[in-house]
Amino acid sequence: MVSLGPSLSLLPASPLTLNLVIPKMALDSELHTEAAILANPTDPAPRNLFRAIATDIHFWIPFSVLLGGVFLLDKLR
Amino acid sequence: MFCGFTAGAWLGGAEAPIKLVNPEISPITVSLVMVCGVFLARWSVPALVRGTSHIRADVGQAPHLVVWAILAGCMWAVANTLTIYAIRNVGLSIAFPLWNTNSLLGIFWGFLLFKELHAAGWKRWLGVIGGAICMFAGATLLAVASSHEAAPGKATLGIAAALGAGILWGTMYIPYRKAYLTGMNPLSFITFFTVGELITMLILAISYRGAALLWHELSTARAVLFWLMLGGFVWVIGDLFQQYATKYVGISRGIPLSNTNQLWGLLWGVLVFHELRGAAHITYEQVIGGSILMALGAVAIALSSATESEHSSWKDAAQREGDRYGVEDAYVRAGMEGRAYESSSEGRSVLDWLLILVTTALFAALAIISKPPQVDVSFGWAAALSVVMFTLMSACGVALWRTTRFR
Repeated sequence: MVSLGPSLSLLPASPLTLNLVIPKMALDSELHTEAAILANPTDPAPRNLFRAIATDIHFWIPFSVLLGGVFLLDKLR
Repeated sequence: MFCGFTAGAWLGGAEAPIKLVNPEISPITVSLVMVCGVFLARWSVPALVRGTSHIRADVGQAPHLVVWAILAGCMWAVANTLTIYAIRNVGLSIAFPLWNTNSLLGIFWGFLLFKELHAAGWKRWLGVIGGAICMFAGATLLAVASSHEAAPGKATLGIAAALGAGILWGTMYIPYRKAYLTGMNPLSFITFFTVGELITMLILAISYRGAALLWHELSTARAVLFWLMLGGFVWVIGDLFQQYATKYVGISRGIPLSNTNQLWGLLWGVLVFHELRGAAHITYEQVIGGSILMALGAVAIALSSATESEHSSWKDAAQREGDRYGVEDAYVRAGMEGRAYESSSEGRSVLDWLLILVTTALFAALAIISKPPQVDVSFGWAAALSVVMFTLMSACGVALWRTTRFR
């Protein structure tokens, strides 16, 4: 399935497809960083790794689903 | 996209060895042995493909991702065990599409948490949402078909197990996407992923079966250990392609494409293992129709490739990860673009060759003591499907090497 619907794709056929946005990424990255500092000058990103993980919803959603899965498995066996 | 499709072929073939195994063996034990095969593959394949020296570099840049890799591994192990129950209660050709609704959940998480489909335009939304509806309709049709084939209690159990696996796998993609937005190499991710897999399965197996009974079961199942571990190894090949698909085109495209494994599962189930033989005509129509609907849905989603503005949204999500965990911006960008960040030693170390040799020797030993399957199998069709799988792997592997050097 190498070429899928070229009529719907605005990008050249490239598996990576990100090369076109390199300059934009570089500029926007700098602008984003500056904006973040200006918006939250007294609120730096959390340095403590444990705290960063413990307050990250990307951790708690999978962890909760995992607990639910273990519960289901226990009911099925 | 090619990676996603190749992943589908291998993930679809991975469950086939389970059908070769005596149904009296506990699903937990079956899953444990599969995971052992997975563990060996997840260390030996990266060693063979790129060597393991880059893993240290990746962990040095983003150590927090080890937590997510292990968490994802735990989820995979529980989901895989649920699939054993699903296959036994409703069969491979029906269980597959049900747990493949994981792609719907993956699309949802990708949109909600990683800005996928943001600024995508109405065509992409139509393709993705329309495809998702098709897949859901297909899954519903298959659930109806299963209620005719299995005893009511068994059908409910099988459906619950299959859907539970789907929810687990669909949510498992959160760690995947998080890692790849940050720039981690999939080969690094899976080496820690498998630690979570193996530890979880060992805990489940020992707590559910008891150490003595587990050992007895493993001893008496010596003849089929090879087939189960082979299933795990095949799964890893498919999963690796799925990882690369997730990395470079995101969850919302990569996962539905790899969920074409349902069609491969249907082919293996019907052609090789003669599932549905003797079933009513209406059942065939429901199963085939449901699978086709799901496949059409996956294609519609896959056709909705990301635009430049959507890639910018992905960049914002990657920026969030870099800011939160203090990851170097250059590392994040290099990883997302498949470029080398810093030079690392090419070639394989003594450890790499040791991993490869030990894995090969172990599989060879198990193959020697294994016995041919005692189930009705069409070897001709099994060989044909295997040839197709290897052809896809070779072609996609070459393409992946040329464009990314497996980064």
